[in-house]
Amino acid sequence: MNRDEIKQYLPHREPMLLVDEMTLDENHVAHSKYHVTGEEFFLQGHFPGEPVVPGVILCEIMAQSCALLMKDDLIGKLTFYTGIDKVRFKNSVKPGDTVEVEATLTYHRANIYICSAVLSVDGKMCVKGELSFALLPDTRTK
Amino acid sequence: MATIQDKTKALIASKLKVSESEITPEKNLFNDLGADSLDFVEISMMLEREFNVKFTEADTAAVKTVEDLYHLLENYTKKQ
Repeated sequence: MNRDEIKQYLPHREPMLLVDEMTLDENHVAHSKYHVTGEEFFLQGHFPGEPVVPGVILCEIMAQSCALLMKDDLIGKLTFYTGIDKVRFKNSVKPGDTVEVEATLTYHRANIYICSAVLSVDGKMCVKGELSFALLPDTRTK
Repeated sequence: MATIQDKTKALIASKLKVSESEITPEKNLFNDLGADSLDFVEISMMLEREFNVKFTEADTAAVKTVEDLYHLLENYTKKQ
């Protein structure tokens, strides 16, 4: 699934659409990628002369990858974080890095989804954590 | 040997950070014990793992009180 196809499911748009591609394997694990170009708004002040992707943005990249696990449920919905647990930051992510996320759905009940995700660059783990979401109706006028 | 009620009470207490003495059968999980929807989903997940059962959406949607949870678990564990 490329960026245009991802937009058919995720409600996020530039500059906050943070997944370039995603595949779902036979075990229902999502594998996604995002290339950090260096032009992103969040690098402008974080930090001057030493750009590093903020941890909250890495969590958001993981969250969007997790949301694509339930892509068919996303139609007509907006995704809202309900919790972030057990997040650990192991290595930083910098311009030029291609981030890879592996996301798994741990539990689903009603409109609440709990997922685990690992974000890495070149096979080296940078972040891991458990993220949970609620899907709520998208009431925006089209 | 811990009963279903003992284990459930301990799990709710740990998740909601309330004392076990506050968890009485008639207490509403949401209004009395302060659970939100995510807390309840996490409690359901923990109970499923603890008792090796799988609740249906309809069963958990009907749960409001601590006693509802006890009854639900008793019904599921009887079937095992």
